[in-house]
Formats: sequence, C-alpha cells, structure tokens
Amino acid sequence: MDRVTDEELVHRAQGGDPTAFDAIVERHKGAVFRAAMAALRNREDAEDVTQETFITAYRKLDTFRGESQLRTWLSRIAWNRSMDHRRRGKFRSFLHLDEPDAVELPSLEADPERKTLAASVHGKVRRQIDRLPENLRDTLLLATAGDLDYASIAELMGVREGTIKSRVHEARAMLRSSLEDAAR
Amino acid sequence: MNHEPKDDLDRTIDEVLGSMVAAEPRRVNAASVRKAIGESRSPRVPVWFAAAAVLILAIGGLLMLSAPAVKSPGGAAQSRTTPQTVAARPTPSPESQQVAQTTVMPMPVRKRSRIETPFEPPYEGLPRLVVASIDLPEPLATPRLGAFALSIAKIEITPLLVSTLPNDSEPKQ
Repeated sequence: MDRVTDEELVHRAQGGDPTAFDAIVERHKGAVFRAAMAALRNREDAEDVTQETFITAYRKLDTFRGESQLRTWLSRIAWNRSMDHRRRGKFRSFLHLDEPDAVELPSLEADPERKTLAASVHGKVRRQIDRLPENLRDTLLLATAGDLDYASIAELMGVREGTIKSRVHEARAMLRSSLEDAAR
Repeated sequence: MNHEPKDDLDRTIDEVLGSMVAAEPRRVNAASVRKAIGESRSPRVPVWFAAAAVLILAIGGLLMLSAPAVKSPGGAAQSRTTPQTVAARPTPSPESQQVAQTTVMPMPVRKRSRIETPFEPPYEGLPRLVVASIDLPEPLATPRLGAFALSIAKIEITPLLVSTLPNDSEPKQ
C-alpha cells in the first residue's frame, strides 16, 4: 500500500475496500494528530479528535472530490473538530494537567544541574508560547508540525498564504522579545 | 554584535515548539478506527427492545381505537370505569331518596374522547343521577385498583316515567 497514491486509496475506499481506508488512516494519522495537538495542546484530546476525524472522514469520503490534497482535507476536519472541542471547553491546559507531557522534553544535557536548568528554560518558553495570541500560536504550531505547507495551512485556516507567513514571523518575534525581557 | 545568545534562544524555541507537536498518536490506528466505525453503525437500542416498544404502542393504539364509547346511565359497564365520584343529587322532590356518595380513589384524568353526559334539562321532581368523569383505566393493567377495597354504596333510583314526559325534553347528544 505504501506506493499507492492517496487518490488511488480514496478511489478504492469509496468503492468499499476496507483495507484502503485502513491505509489512509495509517498514512495520515500522524499529520491529523499533530494538527489537533497544535490546536488543543493536549495529547488525550488530540487522540480523541484524531479518532473522530477518521470516523467523519469515513462517512464523508464520498464527498471528497480531490479538489485539495487528502492530507489537507483530513487536517481541516481535525482542525474544525478541535475548534469545537475548544469552544466546548473540553481541552485542558497542558500547563496544569499535562505535566507528564511537559517532562518528555528532550534534553541532551548529561549533567543533572544543567538538565534541571534546561527543563526550567523549556518551561518558560512553553509558558510564553501559551501566552501568545491564539491565531499566532495556532499558526506557529501548525507550521512547526511540518505536515502542511503554508498554502495548505492558509486553506485550512481560511486566510491568505501571506497571512500565514506574517503570523509565523510575528509569533517568533513576540516569543523572542518576551523571553529576552524575562531573561533581563 | 554577538548573535550567540539569540541562536541559543532560537534553538530552544524550536526544541520546545517541536516537542509540543512532533508526536504520534498512541492509541489511534486503523484497527481502532475500524472498531469505532463499526460501533457507531450498530444500533444503540437492542432490536428486541425496539420491537417490543413498537408492539406495545401498536396494541395500545388499537385498544384506544376499539374502546367502546359506552354511555350507560345505570352504570352497566362499570367494570371498565375508573372509580370516581358518583353522586345522586336529589331535586327538590318529596320522593327524593338519599345521597349516595362514594369516593374511592382519585386518579389523574386522562384526556380522551368520550361521550359527555348532557345535563341540560333536568327532570323536574325526579332524582337526577350525575356520573362525573368516566374514564377508562390503562389497558391490560389495573394494579392501582387492586390496592384498594372498593365499596360502592347502594344507589336506589326511582324509575323514570318516560311516558309522562314531553317529547322535546329528551336529552340530546
């Protein structure tokens, strides 16, 4: 299935081939999950949204006409569902409830003292990311995930590609500025 | 100008951003999705339960439709009446007998079509039987009646002498 194109998989899944839809799930579950993580910043909720996204996709597969890439289409479903979760207040702030995720940060420091320092710095950066305006933070995290190019992110968020570029730039500048201020 | 601190900061920001989104789902895969789709397809109410509900509704509907609309002045079809207040009110007549009033059990009155007993022209000088609100109980079940001992006082009604009445005094429905 690895060499089969998305278009072919969709065609076969629309024809009722269950293995084709399985292949779609396995191929795109990571991208869908990361889009949900960018919106919700909570692993459990992102897993739920990923599952819901593929159920929705299965039901609406007949409506997929290939006007956008399959990955973008799936990511848009995931994004919309994530926004629903957000509106319903279902997601939990990782700052308060996801401490286990927070300590998963990779650290190359061998020295325990430097390791602790690095964890502290990472914690500060995460807090500053959390304080970014929602549209800037969403865009920055989606762009960082790397599954979608700027044009696809723009399509998903319903804005122009130039807006995505400027948001990423602005988000990084705000982060740098706030972290530099905090270090002084 | 020293760019070293900024480069470190950029690297740290990239690391943290990456840690927030660079992950794979742990419990979502093709099998879990297939299972979820299968579950969402299956009916949530057991088939036997749905069939029983439909059957009960159908029987209830048929009984409602076929229930005879009985108008019985003497209370001939009392076996299907809800016990209510039965009162024989005497009109100012020397031959009026007694007031027999039996209150057995108040039950919620169910709205349904029934033939109302017209009360318009009383027979002057004769006792008048007023039967208030005859309702059928729930079909096939009379558990609430079983809990009470029914005692209906003896009602004595003087036979009406229809032949002595004018024709236009017949109650109309």
